[in-house]
Amino acid sequence: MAIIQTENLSYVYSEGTPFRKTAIDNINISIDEGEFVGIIGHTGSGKSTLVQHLNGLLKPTSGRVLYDGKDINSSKEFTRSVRFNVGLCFQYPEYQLFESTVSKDIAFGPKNMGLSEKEIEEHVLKAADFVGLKKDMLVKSPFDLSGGEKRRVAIAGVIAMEPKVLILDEPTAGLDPRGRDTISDMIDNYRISTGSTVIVVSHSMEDVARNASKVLVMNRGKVEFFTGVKEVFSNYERLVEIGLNVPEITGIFIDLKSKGYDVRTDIYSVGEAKKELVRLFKERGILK
Amino acid sequence: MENIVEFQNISFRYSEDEGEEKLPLAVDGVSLGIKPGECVAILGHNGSGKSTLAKLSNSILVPTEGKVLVKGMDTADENLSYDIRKTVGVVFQNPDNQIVASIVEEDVAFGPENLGLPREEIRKRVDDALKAVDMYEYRSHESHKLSGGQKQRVAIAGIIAMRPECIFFDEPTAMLDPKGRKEVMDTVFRLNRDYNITVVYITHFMNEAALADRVVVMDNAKILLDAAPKEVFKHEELLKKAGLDIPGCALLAKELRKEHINIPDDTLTREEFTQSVLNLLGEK
Repeated sequence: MAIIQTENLSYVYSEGTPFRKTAIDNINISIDEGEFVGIIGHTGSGKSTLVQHLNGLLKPTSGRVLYDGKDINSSKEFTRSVRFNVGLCFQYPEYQLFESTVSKDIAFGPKNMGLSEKEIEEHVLKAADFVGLKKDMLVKSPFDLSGGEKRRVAIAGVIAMEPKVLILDEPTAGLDPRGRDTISDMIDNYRISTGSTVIVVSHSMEDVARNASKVLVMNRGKVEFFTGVKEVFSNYERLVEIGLNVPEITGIFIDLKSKGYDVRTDIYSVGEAKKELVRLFKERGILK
Repeated sequence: MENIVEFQNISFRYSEDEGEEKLPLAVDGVSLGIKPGECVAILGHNGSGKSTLAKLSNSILVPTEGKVLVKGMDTADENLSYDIRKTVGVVFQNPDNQIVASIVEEDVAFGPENLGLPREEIRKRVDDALKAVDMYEYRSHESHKLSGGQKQRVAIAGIIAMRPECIFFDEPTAMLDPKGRKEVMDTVFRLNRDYNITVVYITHFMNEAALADRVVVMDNAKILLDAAPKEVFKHEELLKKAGLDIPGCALLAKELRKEHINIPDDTLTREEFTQSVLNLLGEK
């Protein structure tokens, strides 16, 4: 079942001025419930503009966005309810923390949903637990936390609304490797345990290959590919042409194949890579 | 050879509001010398003190304890800060915060203009700097319309136009797409190789660190490791404890050695890895 769809969606910035720029151009996509979609594309390809349409933050210049089959801009009330059902977490969200304590910051969304005090508290505790924030952190000022912790508070603020669709714009940008792994695992756990749909915009081919079930590739405001991970990353040359890449591990196998070795090129993890190379070495009689 | 930048047993604490509890040291007893012509990567978890170190390098910050010397000049001496900043430049993470003018060449000219140089000299420096980052063709473009990687290269040109001998880059690729990352890293290495500029870059990407001559690893405000990348990335456990990792290719090489496929333990990049596989296959 499609939970999010776009129909001929286009958006033009600064219409009627000399700075007119088409940011996204005739986008038609359909995202099923429970899917994990990775969005990749060069800077300025329209990724962020697109995701800001999915919860009604931007209104289409033309075309429509449907949530659960219904135009999200059909009425003010519906747009408002979509904002709670489709949670959007911006790039560098830690710059948007503003409350005096972590728990108040996380509670901001649920409060606006009109939940009772008790429900709000439950939502906050659950969200904090999801992102691995310990209870003693909840009373702290968000500004006393480290960069990675702040990022988690910001994400918890969106998760606390328990959205059916969770959208994150570059959630791991600027984090160290451990921070990246923690956030990636956390997002995947949210999807698995709640059955929610997750959409992640990323510049990391590794992250996308690891988690996504489908990949949307944007190029100059248009959809270049929207299909499975393997299908997308098999278009190595085209990806490089449009400013992207394949995961580094995958690159090894593309290089070996180009040297005439018969290897799979749909390899994205160290585990798979190890298996395939062991197979190659055995086949060649180098390894017993 | 004399160090171009020398951190002598420095500590730094961000100033705290009165009455509030003291913040921990952001840099704690660090001694580090950068030699002329070196290409150094600094790794470390978020909050390990890397960016503070960059800001201490050209007197944006001055140490709470210890001394930072730039070609022998003490960064704590305000009278020297002009000369220090002409010697060491810093490029930051977000290109949008570093672009000041609406046209590319005007942006690059901002620094030299402030040095009070003659017009012809400014023109020459701007052109040279834009050529060095491969953005000369864009000199009359509007800076806000460039891609992230292009903007970052313009920001770098702005620093180069000051003709520094050393540049610190604070996560220059964190906000860029793969192509932008490559453009900026290629530029960083070219400045080091062809223009003989001493380069220190901070990164969270292990594969970028693998390309430096030397890697300094920070952990909780202190230096944990300081060696060539091939040596540093042999310490997988230590790096993981410090919130870091080893490059994917090094990890795969390690896994394969367990299966008696002997990829050397100093294999760090895709090219090196593929080459060692080809070598082993050819051995038969």
